[in-house]
Amino acid sequence: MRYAQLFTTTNFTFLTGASHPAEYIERAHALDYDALAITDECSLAGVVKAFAVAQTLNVKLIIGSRFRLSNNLHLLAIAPSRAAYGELSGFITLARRRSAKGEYQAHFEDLRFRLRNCLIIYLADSGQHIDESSVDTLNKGFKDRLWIGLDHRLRGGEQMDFSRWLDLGRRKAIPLVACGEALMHCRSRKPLQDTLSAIRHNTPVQDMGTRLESNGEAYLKTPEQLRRLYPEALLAETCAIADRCHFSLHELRYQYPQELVPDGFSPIEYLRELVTDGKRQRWPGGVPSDIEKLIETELELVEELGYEFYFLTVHDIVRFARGRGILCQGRGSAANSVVCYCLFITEISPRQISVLFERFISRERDEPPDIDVDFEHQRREDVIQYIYGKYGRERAALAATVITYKRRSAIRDVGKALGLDLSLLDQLSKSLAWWDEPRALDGIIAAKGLPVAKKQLQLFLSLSNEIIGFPRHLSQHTGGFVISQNRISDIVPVENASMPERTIIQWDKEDLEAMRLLKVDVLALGMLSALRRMLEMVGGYEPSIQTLADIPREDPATYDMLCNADTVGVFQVESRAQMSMLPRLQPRTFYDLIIQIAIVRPGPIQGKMVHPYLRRRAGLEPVTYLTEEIESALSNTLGVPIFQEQVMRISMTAAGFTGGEADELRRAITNWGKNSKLLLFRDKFINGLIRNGYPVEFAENLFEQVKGFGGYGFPESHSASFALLAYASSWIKCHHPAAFFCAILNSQPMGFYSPSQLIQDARRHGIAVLPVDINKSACENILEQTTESQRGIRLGFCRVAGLEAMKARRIETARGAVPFSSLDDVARRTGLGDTDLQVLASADVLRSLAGNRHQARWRAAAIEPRLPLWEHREATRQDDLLMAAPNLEKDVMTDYQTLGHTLRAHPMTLLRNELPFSRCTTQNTLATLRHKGLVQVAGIVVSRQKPGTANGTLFITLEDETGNINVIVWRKTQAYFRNAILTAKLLLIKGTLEILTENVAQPVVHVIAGSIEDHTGRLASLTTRARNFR
Amino acid sequence: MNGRGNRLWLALRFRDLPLSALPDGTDDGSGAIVVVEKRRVVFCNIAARKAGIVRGTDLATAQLLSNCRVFQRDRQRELNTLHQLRDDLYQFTPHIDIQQSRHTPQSGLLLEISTCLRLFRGLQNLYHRVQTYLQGASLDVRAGLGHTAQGAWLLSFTHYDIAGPETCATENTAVFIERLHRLPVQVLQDYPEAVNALTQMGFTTLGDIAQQIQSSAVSSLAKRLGRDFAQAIMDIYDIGSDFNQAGLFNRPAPTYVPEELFERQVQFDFPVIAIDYLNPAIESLLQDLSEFMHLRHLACQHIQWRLSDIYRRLDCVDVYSDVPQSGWQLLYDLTLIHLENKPIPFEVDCLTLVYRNKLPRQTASSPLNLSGQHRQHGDTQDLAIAMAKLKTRLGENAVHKVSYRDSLIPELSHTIVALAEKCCQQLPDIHRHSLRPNWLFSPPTAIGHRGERLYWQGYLALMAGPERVTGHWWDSPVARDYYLARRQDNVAVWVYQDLYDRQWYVHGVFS
Repeated sequence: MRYAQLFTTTNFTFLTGASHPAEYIERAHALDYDALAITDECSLAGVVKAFAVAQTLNVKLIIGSRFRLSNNLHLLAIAPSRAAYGELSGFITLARRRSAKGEYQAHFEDLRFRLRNCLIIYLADSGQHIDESSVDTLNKGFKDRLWIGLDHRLRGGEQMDFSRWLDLGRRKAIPLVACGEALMHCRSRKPLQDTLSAIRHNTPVQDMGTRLESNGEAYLKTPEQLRRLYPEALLAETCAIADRCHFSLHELRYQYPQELVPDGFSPIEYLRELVTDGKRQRWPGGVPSDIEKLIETELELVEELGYEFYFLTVHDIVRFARGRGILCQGRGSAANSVVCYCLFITEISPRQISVLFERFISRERDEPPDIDVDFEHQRREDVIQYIYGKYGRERAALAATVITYKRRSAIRDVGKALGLDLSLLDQLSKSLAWWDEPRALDGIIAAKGLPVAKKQLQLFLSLSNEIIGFPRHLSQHTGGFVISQNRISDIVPVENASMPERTIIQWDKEDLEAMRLLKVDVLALGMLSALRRMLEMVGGYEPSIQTLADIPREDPATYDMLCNADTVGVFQVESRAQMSMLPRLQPRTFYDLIIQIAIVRPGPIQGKMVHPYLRRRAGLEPVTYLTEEIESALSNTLGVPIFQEQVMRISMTAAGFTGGEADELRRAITNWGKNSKLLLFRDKFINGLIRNGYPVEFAENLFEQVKGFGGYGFPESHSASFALLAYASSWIKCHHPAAFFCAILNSQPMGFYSPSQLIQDARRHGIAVLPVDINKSACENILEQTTESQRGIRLGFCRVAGLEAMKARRIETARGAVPFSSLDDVARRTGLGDTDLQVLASADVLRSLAGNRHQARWRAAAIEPRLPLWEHREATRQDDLLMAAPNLEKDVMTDYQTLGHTLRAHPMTLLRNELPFSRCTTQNTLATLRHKGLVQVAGIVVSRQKPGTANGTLFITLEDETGNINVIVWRKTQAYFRNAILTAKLLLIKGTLEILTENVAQPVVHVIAGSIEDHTGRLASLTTRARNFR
Repeated sequence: MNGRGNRLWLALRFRDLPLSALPDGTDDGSGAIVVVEKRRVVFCNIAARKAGIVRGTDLATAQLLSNCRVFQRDRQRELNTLHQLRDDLYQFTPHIDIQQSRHTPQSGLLLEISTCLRLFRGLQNLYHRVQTYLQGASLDVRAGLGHTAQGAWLLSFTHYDIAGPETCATENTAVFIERLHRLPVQVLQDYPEAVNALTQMGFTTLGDIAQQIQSSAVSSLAKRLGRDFAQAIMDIYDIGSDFNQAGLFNRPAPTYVPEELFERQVQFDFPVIAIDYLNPAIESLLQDLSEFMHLRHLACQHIQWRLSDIYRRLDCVDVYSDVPQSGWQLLYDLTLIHLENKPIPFEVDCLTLVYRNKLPRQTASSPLNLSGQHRQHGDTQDLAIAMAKLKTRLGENAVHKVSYRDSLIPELSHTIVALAEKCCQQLPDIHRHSLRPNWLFSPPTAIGHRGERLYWQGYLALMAGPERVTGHWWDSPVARDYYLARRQDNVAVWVYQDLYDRQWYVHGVFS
């Protein structure tokens, strides 16, 4: 029996469909259906995911969508051809764009006039009153493209309804077709489907009543089941429809905007022109011949694959940003392209790394290149608006991100849907640590002995686990733009994002890759904002430093600082792991820095490449190469593969792979575990090496090593791009620390450290950090001359919690060059109300005008609203406060509450003379103690990190008055002290000291935690929050 | 200071009122208990406090800390308890007021006792009697004594000997002011914003505030913290704007007027041994009640009869009406129904009629409407009277009504609810397009087989179906195929096959 499933609702009809698109395709394949149509409600969001599997299994995929029109007609629209697909996508766009996010409004008139090629199935809902006039209108509009779809799933009254529809079909000459809806791929998903409905209605399943499906028959059925439900003719009609559908998503072709090419030029000619200009600037003394050759090779491939417009589009965006003084830099594999370097998209010269163009574009891969460009995070919006302005909303849209159910959201929503007590769900959510695996809930519930009936608990657990990964809604991608020559809605529907003035397409990043659509990543990078600020500040007093290019290269003092791991705030090398690696690796050159950034990655760590490299670097192990080919590929990293490009190079030079095959191998390594492609390459790789004379053992070892990279290795080009920024930020920290910290503070939020920690570090570097002052501060933090040769940081009004940025600017503007003379003067000139004045008073900003915090609050509270008629009234009579000034402890705590930092004593200083803290060792003396000795430390928790590669080890950083203490907590200890670890702000840790002194620039000190005590109560009003990292 | 005769206020703060106001049996003395409001703990017992729960803890944390039992705060019950206590303490002083905090669950009573000290032979004796009385009420009480009502209230948050020599002295105002000075500003719980502002200005005690006022007048406080707060401070200390002037000399102490009760009795000249002999007295008392209500524009839904004998034995009979009554006839009928089958408990010497829960006549609730359709007022009244009589005769739990419920499972699509509850009269949507008989069997009856055919009081032939109903997986899963069947005598029945055990059942009969 032939059959095509025409009505399928996937989980991309959010909170309705209970199966993934791929599950439907796999089931349709198993049931030997002729075809399957994905028909989500006013959406094509799930079709690409279905298409990818359909291609593999050779299942015919039909694209369609379901609509409930404003006149209550319920129907399916199916796209039999490319033209119909464009209409359908446009129709969805129209319906979605006129409504708020997640909703749509579709009108019959639009349907009639816009869908001129689509097939329409009028859905005969059970028990529905037949509106003959609507049927007549449909019949008139769609003639031979209209069917009546009958959905038989053993609901009450179906048999009686059937005769009515049959009669109608005969009278109106509209064919009937079997059109049973599938809400799930198999019947066992019924509880999940009910749960999704309950979540959608925000009602417990127990109270859903007839809003739930009356049975679980909306699934993909076997031919025997179908024959029992429908007459043979209705089943045959499904294939008649399927046979009319010839459209495949393969046919989607789109073009990049072409207006960037001036008249008289072909795209490649114009690209060549730009590259020629660029290379002259890059190599003013003449382009080396090998570089010329590389450029030529790249351009030929770009032309052959038709990517000229893509390069030109990215170039245009970068040119706009540079023209506006917005710092930007390409990252990732694009830095392997000399063309990108010549177009100023990337900054890594082919002389700095061994570029491998195949990593960027390969003929065999036949996939669009991916150019990611970072922009200053605080000015990226300018770039986004430029793109919208230049190409219009019809031609440019952001990619979507599918927000899926994670542990916490699954607990919350499924729990509510099952009617569980909200406080119980709160308990469960709070009990989960951010590092817990999705299935950890079972153990937590068991450990707590929670008062949930056994059966209910089992249902809750199984449904919570089942729903994880289900899409919840579409959100906007961080910066992936799709730009097209024609209307983008011809390719994919566009809808409104929740953010005003933003539109997104219904496909996410993976969909775009699968469809081979080009995307430009307009990414935000905080360090670029910080660097621009640093350059502006330094350039203000040191004219020789205006741009990144002016920063002296290979500066020994900078490398000394890096070797000492003095890198708080420095780009990429500020994490705990990087800081403990720096004294061991001891970078002395730019290339060392590239390695430093790449080596602290899961790939090299899991591939066990870190220690061999460090040993060889320290001269503890000989550096040997089996052959010259291996040497040429690995000589930069002392024979240890660290970069993705090296794996590719070995496979090309030693195993006989082509460039494209080498990149395929890299991708197979990246996707290892997701598919079996890597095994296909294994034999080819090992045999290739053996054929070229390498021992079997070496070949197998090498393969295992490169496999360890998994998806977590950096390309050399990417690491090099980051190393540029790391070096620049290091140099500025080393030579202009005040500007460095001031700019980083102005660019928050970014990086690993809170403003408080950055201020502490700045002060440890001897920089005068000056308090926020009503008569001296600006809105942002600024540099202030403290002595003839020294600059300090004057903190700005932006540091004051609760003061809006607009008001902070107003203070700066109102003051101008004339300082405020009194609190009344502040109120009069700024127009601030008493609430804002009290915020300023609490933050101790008014000290110079109104005295200590108590006095300032007292005076600020007495400021009366400004009334124009009373402008010149006499100042109110002074009534002085009798209270004494706050003590140091109170001032410190209030500093944290109002500013998030203190310039007074560190909180640990206040506690240091009290038990048990008086018995603790401070950070600055740890290195002088005995290795493996017992130690007791205490400090404020500033970060907790649990990297996936650390076998469950947790790294906690504590801050005391002398510095940061690095604590390691093994998995068993974590389980015992779980609550304290998760919630404490102040910890006292007893443990063992680990001091590494061999082959390091300075001792690397860790405390291995044995016992952990929560002393947060001692800092009741401290408002700092620790940052959690994976 | 105030120049008129000194007042003396006794504040009684009931610390566990949120718990003790809850129905009897809530606190059985075992385990941790918390009372919550808006998911925050407002009261916790000792076991809960030992587990680390404090007032203000959020519910989730409280449950994490202990396996506590949780009760929702009932403000109305608290207020009722306070009213009751006020009535009871009226025996000590007519100047009595209720104190309830706006922001915290602290409540209590304020008694002005200066005028009744002599009657009770001094403070010590009076306080002792109050204490003895409250011990009987099983309440956890903290007392405060002061020269102002609010001062006494605040002093109840700290511990001083109420009847000590200092306070028993004739001129004791200075003592109270000194005690108030030592209180922390946080005790002003009704003014959280002002307390926050005061803390940020360096004030730590009420004495700091007093000192500031003496230096710069109350207006400086009012300007910064609001007039209400300044007035509150003036009330606490009984001061004027510069701390020295008397501010309250014209303000009379509140005088409590107890609620007027209707409680009348008839003493019999001979012991009554049969209910019938009570009838004339019942009628007479109810006529008095009717007149009482008529004069005051009141109505009533509940009265209580108290029968007692010469040995002070007591038997009570409560009579309720769903419809508020201002006449006496229905109450009379209902009373007679109540007493009809009741054996007389003893030889009755006295019959008392008590009417407490007074309803204003104009705000009486609407008549009961069982059908959901509009009825003539008279019809509704008659039905209500009939229902009241039925309930009185058969008991509150014997009269019910049917309510539809939205459920896919046929036997769960209706429910029986108490007469007083709201019921749903709207048929679920599923009835519009699916077969549903009016008469459902509960439980469904199993069908047997004769030969190969289904047999239930005759052979059954399946006519239409199946309609598959599956669901209710969260409780007891249901999976059935329903059919319309015709019995050989042409009766249409609704049958189903259970898909789990494959057994057939009759679930209903069509009309």
